[in-house]
Amino acid sequence: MVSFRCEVHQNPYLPEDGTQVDAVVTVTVTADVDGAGPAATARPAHGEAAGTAAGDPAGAGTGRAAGGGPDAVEVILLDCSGSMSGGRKMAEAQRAAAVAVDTLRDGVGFAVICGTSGASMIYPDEGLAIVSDRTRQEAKARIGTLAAGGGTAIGAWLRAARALMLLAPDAIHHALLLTDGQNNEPPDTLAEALAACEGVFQCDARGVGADWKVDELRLIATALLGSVALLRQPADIAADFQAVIQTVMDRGVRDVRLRIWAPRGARIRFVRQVSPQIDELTGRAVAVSDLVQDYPTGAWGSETRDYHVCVDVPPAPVGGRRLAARISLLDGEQTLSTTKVEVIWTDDSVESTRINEVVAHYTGQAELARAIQDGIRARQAGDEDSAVTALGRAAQLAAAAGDELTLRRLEKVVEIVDAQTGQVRPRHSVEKLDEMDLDASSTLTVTPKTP
Amino acid sequence: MSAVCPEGHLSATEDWCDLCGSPIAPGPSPRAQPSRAAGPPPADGQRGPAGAVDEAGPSDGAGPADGADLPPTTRSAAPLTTPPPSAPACPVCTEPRSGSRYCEACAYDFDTGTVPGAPVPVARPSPASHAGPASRSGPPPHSPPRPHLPATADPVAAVRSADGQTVIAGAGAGAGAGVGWVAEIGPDRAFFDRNDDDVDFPDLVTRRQVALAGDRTLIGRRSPRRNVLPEIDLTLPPEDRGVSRVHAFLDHSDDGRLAVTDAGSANGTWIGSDPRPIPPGRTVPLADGDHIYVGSFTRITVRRTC
Repeated sequence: MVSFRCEVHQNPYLPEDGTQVDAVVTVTVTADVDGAGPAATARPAHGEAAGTAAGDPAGAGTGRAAGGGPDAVEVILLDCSGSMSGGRKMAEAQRAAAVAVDTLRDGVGFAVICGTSGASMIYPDEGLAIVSDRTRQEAKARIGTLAAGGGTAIGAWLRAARALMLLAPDAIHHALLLTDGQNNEPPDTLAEALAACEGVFQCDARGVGADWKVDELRLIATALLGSVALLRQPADIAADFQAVIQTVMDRGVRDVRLRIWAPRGARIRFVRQVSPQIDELTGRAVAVSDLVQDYPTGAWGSETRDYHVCVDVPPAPVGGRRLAARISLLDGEQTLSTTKVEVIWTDDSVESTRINEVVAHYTGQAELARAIQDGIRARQAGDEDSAVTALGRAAQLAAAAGDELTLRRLEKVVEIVDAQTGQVRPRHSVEKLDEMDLDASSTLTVTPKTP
Repeated sequence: MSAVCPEGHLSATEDWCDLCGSPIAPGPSPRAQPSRAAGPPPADGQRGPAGAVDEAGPSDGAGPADGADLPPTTRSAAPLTTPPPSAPACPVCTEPRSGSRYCEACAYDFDTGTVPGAPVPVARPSPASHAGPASRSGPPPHSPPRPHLPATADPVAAVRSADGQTVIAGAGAGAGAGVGWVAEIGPDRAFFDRNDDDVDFPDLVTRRQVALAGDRTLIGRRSPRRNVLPEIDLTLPPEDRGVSRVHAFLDHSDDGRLAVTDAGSANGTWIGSDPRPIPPGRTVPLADGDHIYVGSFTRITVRRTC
């Protein structure tokens, strides 16, 4: 089993008439003492189930959920469009898919889909296969026969994944999407597909090469609670796939919701995941009652995430105290952990103006992501002045946060004269891959420096 | 389990009100250290109020003037690093304002500047401290000559003394020449069933009567520390925690008329079979035999006696 722990970072003091309450909630999930992570806890079922299901033709019978189906489903969506035939892309995608299949844990339900102008099954022929040595071999053999040809219809691929996910409704659902190009479905098709898939499965989206659109994959990753990343070289795909699948296999708690209670008269300004990456959750609120909202956070393994919650509360006189928010994590109706954001009004401006370091850090990280995206958009629009201003601010914020990786990516797009003051000069020959990498990585955050 | 917050809301959570977020004083003992339990933790690792709590703790617990039962949204039990300046207080009785429209102690209306039923708001010499013994034992601000009956009698003993039919005769009943009303208080199953409050209907079905003395009677729940001493006190068994500290007033003038005014209660006041609660602050006339419903299960029937 795993345990959830919440910790609040805030300055509890508000000035007279102050209403805005900022708090960062750090949620840490740890495997319990025996070191059994969610993946490990699934293993004892292996021997037991394998014994009882000896005659199972699929050789499956492990990692079963209570309902009898698999406890996790992984669907690999491979772009097999014509453009994939360029370079070593198809070959590397095939190798990566094989590595991904090898990384899947026994007993998990899985499928590999070939995405072109539609979606076709690579393995199995229909429905889901259950991971075993035999099915791994069969899947890899089929993957090896793939050839590229056709268009890119990501909406159709996602819908196909959704249909497979629904075959095992109680499992943890994840898809891994690889593409090298832009979606060429009619407008709104992708948005509609995303709306249908939201809440059904999570999806990490990967782009290989320089011909895909960062905004498009970010849209998918954001809606489906996943990440987006650029893979520079086809040879990079396999290692990334392995890392992604390993993370997913370690997840043991599905569909965790962040529940926020705020008092009558309060308004939740925003709720945003700020670590390991920025995800706006404000618009994803599901009202439970007048005072309680739920936000989706997807499935969890042993990991740490931070959430920045900003609430406006009705003011109280100096000396007054109020509970500004009660924040819980729920698995179904079970509360995994809960914490409180309490405030106290003071006329001591030293207390009320002190900004909590963690809140300040993540406020800066959110601004950094915005500055990078604004700067790149301005650059692409040919607005060099705005680009320099935004990317200069980004350099300043990255330096302040000690975010070396972001500084390095920025350095490839602008010449950083002085990071501390945000002084940068435009570069005239920038590799497209570098710009895309900066864009795609903009929402990744670093944790605060420990004092 | 549930609790009532200082603003009179029935809360399922017992640390902070699940409606308004006000801190709920833990436990009835004045010597408990409410500030320690309820104070905001210095969660960010910075210096928080916790250190200061200890300094102020002894004085908190030393006397009856502790903050346990004061409206904590106006008065902090967890002290600041500097002494808090006085919160906005009721100009009539100096009770700190709780954030609602009406003063918790005397029902002074902050919006209109009047005390319901009182001819004019009377400025009153400020006691040394609103929480001090002087103000606690002092006469009610809006009608100084009128004794607070439940405060002087031992209400529990009185209730036990007569099997279910206890008349708390007002010692000062003669103060109002035209006394002619009596209120009969007890649980009402039908009203309870209409509500969905998370409480049990009381086993102890007692009915008691209160003669309406003077010109005004407060329906509420007794809180000496906040100088709330209702004549119709629903802390008496069976206690109805759905009733606000200052819930409603009965005004009974010499000419024999009787009216009720909801003082901005958390859970409302109903009359007769009307499914809607009466609007807070509006005075509604009553007739002989009318039923008033408050809290989770309490019915108050008013009867003319002369």
